[in-house]
Amino acid sequence: MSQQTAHASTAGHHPKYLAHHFESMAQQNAAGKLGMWLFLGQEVLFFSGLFLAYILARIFYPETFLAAHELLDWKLGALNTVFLLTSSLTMALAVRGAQVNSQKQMYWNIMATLILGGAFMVVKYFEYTHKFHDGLLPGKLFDAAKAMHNGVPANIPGAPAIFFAIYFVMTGTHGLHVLIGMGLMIWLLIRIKRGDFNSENHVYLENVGLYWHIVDLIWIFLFPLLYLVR
Amino acid sequence: MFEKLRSLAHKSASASHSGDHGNEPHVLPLKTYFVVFGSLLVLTILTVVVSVIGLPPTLSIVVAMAVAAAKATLVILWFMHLKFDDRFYSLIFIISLFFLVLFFVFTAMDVLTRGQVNPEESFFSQDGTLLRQEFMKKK
Repeated sequence: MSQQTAHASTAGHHPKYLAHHFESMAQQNAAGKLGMWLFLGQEVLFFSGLFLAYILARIFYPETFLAAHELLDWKLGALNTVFLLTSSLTMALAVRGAQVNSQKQMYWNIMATLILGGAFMVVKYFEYTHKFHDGLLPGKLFDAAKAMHNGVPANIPGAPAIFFAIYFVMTGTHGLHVLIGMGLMIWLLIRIKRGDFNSENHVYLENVGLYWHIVDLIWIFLFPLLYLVR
Repeated sequence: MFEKLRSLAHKSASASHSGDHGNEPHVLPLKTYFVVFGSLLVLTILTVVVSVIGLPPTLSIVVAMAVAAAKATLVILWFMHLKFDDRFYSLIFIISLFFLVLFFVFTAMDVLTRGQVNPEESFFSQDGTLLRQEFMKKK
């Protein structure tokens, strides 16, 4: 990363992490965060398409949503909500650790965030394999007969195939974001170990944090919309 | 935008600033994070309870979304530090929410009122029930 390379000509009074095209660390950090917020704005709009698909499908098939959500386990959804909320806390604490210049707080809070993200994916994995096993799949793959054979009350009115299409696309896209976030955590852990971050230079950590919180935000809306339909 | 970055640079260059707009990060007390986290858990329990007690459908979705919005606000303001950060980031986020609302409202306007323009294109019959079979056939 370019911010890493201290320029020999200016090394005298410039902080080590300051790229030559910025006037100060404050400006450099503000520019980094500005870019991240623009990306988060894009993320909101990216997911808005999926939420709109959900809204329209629910307007067209209210009774399908009411019946089909019974096939999702709200307890697992709630457990995953707790995992993600806790991971958001540890992420925020990691950023605070950077602000107070504590390498230990940074490292272990990112580690906790990574583990909680992993726990979320494990629960998701069990939910998905269960659905695959019962033929509760999107679109034309939806197999009511197989589900009934497995003892799942899949005689759902309307268009259950559409409900599961929306369920898999929304949670799948969200899960992909969690996986990417976990990859970023591993990258952060390596860089923290290398001693790259301190109270002056931690905009990477802050930006990954912002990304992680937006992933949490999306789940905050997905959980009641998919698991708790009434 | 460039003005903003420039002014930030000048502020830090003067180095006399302290508090939330200078070079020094705004460090919140640990307690704040745990209070926010506790509130998020309470709101999660609330959203489950509201679903279980079985409110009327319309009220139920309104309450569920209001609770989700409250949780989102807590995360955005405290965990994402938007409350203490440069207002410019808030502006970017609010603009994205504005376009989200625009997207939803305009699509809803089309879907819900299409019949008033051309009854043959309507998704709903005269008495307000859905014409889904018709809709599926059109596809």
